[in-house]
Amino acid sequence: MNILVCIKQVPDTGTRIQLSKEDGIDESEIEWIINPYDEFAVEEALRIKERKQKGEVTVLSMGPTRVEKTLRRALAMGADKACLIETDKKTDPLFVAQTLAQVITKEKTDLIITGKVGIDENHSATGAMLAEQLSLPHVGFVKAFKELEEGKWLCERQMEAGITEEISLGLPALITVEKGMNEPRYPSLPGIMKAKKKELKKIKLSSLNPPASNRVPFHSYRLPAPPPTPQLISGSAEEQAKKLVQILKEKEKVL
Amino acid sequence: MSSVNILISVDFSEAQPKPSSLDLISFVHQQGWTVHALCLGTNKESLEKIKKAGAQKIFLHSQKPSNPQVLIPFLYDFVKEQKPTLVLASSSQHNLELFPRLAMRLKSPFLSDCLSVKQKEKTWLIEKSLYAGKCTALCTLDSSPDKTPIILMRPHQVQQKTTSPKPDSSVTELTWNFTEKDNYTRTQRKHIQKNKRPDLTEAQIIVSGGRGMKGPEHFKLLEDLADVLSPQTAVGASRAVTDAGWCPHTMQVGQTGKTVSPQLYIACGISGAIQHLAGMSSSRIIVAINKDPQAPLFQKCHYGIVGNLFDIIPLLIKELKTEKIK
Repeated sequence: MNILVCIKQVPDTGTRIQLSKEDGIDESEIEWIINPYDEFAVEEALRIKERKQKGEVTVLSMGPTRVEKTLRRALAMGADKACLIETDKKTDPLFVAQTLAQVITKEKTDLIITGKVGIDENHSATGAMLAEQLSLPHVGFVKAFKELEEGKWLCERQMEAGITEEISLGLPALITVEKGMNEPRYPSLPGIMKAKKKELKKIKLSSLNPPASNRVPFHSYRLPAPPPTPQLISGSAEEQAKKLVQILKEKEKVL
Repeated sequence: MSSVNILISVDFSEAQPKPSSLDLISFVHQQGWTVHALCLGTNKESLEKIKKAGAQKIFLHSQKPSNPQVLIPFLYDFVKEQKPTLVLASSSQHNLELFPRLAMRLKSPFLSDCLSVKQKEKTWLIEKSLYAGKCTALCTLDSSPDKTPIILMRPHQVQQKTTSPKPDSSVTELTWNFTEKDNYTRTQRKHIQKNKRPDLTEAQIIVSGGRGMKGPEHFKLLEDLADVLSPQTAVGASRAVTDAGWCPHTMQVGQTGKTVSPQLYIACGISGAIQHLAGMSSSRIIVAINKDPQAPLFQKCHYGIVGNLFDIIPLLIKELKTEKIK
């Protein structure tokens, strides 16, 4: 079974986002990591391969040269090969999905896995768009993925309002995965050594046929307004509780 | 009469329209734009609230295929034929599965987790949350009949009661014949919950616990507080707590969990890591209860109580109960 995992490089969750002078995000102090949801995707792909004892796991990403480091990490975790579509362009899901699809159709892939959302721009769209572009069925937000019979898998997911859904999905297909699916492994030292020798194919974006518009036009970036000066409620525990209820009820009218 | 017509895809829960969808309808109607409501998987009896909120045209189908791939061709033709100015829906999980596919097929601009929609001459200004709320940006979109923008809004961002007179609504029944595909079958089961709480992203009030709760057994205290606050209260947790297995990951608020914006967010024993703040800083009122006066959350809250939460919360519960009796 050949599995393709689409991953994205994103700023670390601990990053304090700063704005740049050019009306965008200041990237100078950002530490880049693999999108945490995509890390679950890599781990899941590796586990499926290990269970089935055959097939290949390929990781695919798009972005500037620095993304190579994130792909190497996935290789160090155990992926077999990697592919980077190189571009310095800022992109959006519509562009990424159409471009990735051009590369993917060329390979034989049984299953595509990616994270349910990128923690940077929170579009939660690339996976579904890619499935549409490739005319594949897809299931989002998968938390558990089990094989029912050859080529048929069970996706379990947690939806809003406490509903659990089970979907039986025939391959080839695409799934996007949710936190809690697995505990991603750390790359081992031999893993890191081996990763250096594994294939990392680079494709120039210009050698493909990407869509004309690379991104919806974002502007007027703003940091959230700081909350008004925090007000500390003093007194004994009884007084604090009483005062808080009064404030919430009478002043803020949220109760 | 404005020539703007907005197609709103309405979400239903147990045949009733979800409050977030009704909020969207009244908001759009209140702006003077025409509302066309797409209601799939429901019946005529459930349309009253939708009419009341201000929908002018309602498109109804009793079925909603569970497989997005089955529904997409119909939605594609429908949008091509109706040529709405925008398509709006809530940023719910099912919509996040369906609408990116539709946008891909239409080659339409797509934005999710949006906070506001404004018209500026012939263009649309959409405000979107980025980095789970660590910043926001605007997106200027043209609406052209070949590329209808598809916008998914975060629940509770637009709340406006309809005051303008409600239009006469017409109902059109769609005659779509769905053919399910054999590579996809969905079943669902509802959890039997002791307390029926709303989802974190839909809740009006959230009571959230962090490491300061000391252990999973103490989350009962937060459940009790939620019970006396209102039926619209949900219980959340910090990443430290869900990673430790005290609570399921579905309860996590933050950049790698849920982004929430309730009217009231009460953080109990949560220090306030950047990634947690990202997920809840758009809450209207933030209350922090923590025994550590140095907790970063005390810089980001509206009201803070420095104290032992195991003393404060029971007293809060008692106080709220007394208030209720009054």
